[in-house]
Amino acid sequence: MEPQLMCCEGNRPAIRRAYRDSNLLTDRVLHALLRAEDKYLPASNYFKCVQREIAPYMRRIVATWMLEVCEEQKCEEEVFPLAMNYMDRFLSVEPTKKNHLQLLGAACMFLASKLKETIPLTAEKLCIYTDNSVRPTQLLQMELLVLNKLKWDLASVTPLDFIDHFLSQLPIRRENRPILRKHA
Amino acid sequence: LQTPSCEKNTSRSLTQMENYLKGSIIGRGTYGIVYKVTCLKTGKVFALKCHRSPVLRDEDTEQKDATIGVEDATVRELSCLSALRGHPNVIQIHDLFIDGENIAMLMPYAPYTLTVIHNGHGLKVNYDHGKALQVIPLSFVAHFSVQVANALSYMHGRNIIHRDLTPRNVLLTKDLTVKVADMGLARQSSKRMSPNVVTEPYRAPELFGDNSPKDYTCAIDMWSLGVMIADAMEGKVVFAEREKGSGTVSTYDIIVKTLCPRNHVKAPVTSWDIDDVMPNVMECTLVKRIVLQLLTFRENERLLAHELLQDQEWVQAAHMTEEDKNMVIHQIQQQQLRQASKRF
Repeated sequence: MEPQLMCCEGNRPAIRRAYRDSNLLTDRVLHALLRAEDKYLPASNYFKCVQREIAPYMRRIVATWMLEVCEEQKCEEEVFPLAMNYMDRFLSVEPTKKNHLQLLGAACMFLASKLKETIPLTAEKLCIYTDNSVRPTQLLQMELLVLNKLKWDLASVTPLDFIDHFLSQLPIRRENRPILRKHA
Repeated sequence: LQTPSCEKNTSRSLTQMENYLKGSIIGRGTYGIVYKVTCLKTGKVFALKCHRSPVLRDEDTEQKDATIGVEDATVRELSCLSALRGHPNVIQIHDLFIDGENIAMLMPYAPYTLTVIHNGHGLKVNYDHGKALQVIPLSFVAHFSVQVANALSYMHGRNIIHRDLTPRNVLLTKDLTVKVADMGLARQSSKRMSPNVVTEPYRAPELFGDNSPKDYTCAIDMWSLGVMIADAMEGKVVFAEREKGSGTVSTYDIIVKTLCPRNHVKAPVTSWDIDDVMPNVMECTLVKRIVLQLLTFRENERLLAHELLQDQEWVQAAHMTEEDKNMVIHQIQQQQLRQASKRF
């Protein structure tokens, strides 16, 4: 397979980037990812079965806020979908008050950023984005609670993991791939 | 806003820690300390890895790490270990404790590590008799490399790169089953990865050098495996920096001088004869074939873990007789005795 060279220019020049690993774009890996994905899927009915206070529109508000934070902080593209996966999985097992939902969202971004980024987000920065309605100590406590509820199983498979696999299967020119990927 | 009470919910508290008696320190690193511990109820022996983590530190302390929370190394190691749970050649976690500022992982105790391959003798093949006269049997070299490849094939299939594969991080159980450990540097493959990984003598050539972005893939783990096989054959760290003439030759220079192909941009002016650097590897046709496929300078030519496992000849060589096993265990115990006597 031809090695592909993509996305080597960083926004933050201090960070050195690695290239995409074309060894990982085989059918063998795709099947393993598909198998593994099941383990990380949230329950689809948690608004009905688990949560009392939280409604779908609240999740949407928090998700929009999280996406804004991730974009403004120029987080890696994996951080947001990963954080949403943590939030949904947490909400699938733990009844949560609606005034804790933003705290939960912040803690999920905090963890996803640690897993994926060379220089992770700090607790202070996240607290500022909540308009200081959340204190760093609360964030750290919520972090532990999320880790515990998700049983430390954070290496989730997200839809983003499949994009490169699908793109490599499509009959498109290699130089067009980065553009197509952006719009996927 | 009310703080969610998490104390009662966190995995285990200090009280359960008290069921374990802390023994001697068996490992130390930047991540924290590994103790040998004994369960007071069952008498079973475990290893306890204590991550230093400023969990719930006072809010008003001005320290920079005050609001890091759980260290990213801990998050990565534990999430990788959770993702790989159940594989016979990856270390398992029995339990998790929050002990004050530490996060402690309880793991099975593995009495040996692969550092036994640095015994100073290596493996000598006596061709006159058509039979190997050796200190470490060839079957052990094939055995550990196949089991490490097994773990790597599983990890790479899950998009996870180990990034610090060294003999110290390859643990061996009583019956010499390989358990790959220390995932502190492991991470899911991603677009942006730091190139400053892997202990130097086991670091692949594409990780060395200037500040330019590094083209690196899961093949870096395969390089480390290749170096470990070469180490085992020679009985020493083959790519350790060494004194030569008036100066020191670095790991990277040794690699370039011995393995860089002539038509490569980085080709050296004077190259070294690979027969001098790893004579025992070159003497054995089978090992030579395997090692040279792993230690390729260009990472896209390197053998991948699942490809190594398809090599029938190598997999068949991995069968260890009882005699072979006893020979290796004897070697390990001798080495541990020597190290213990050095300490006193």
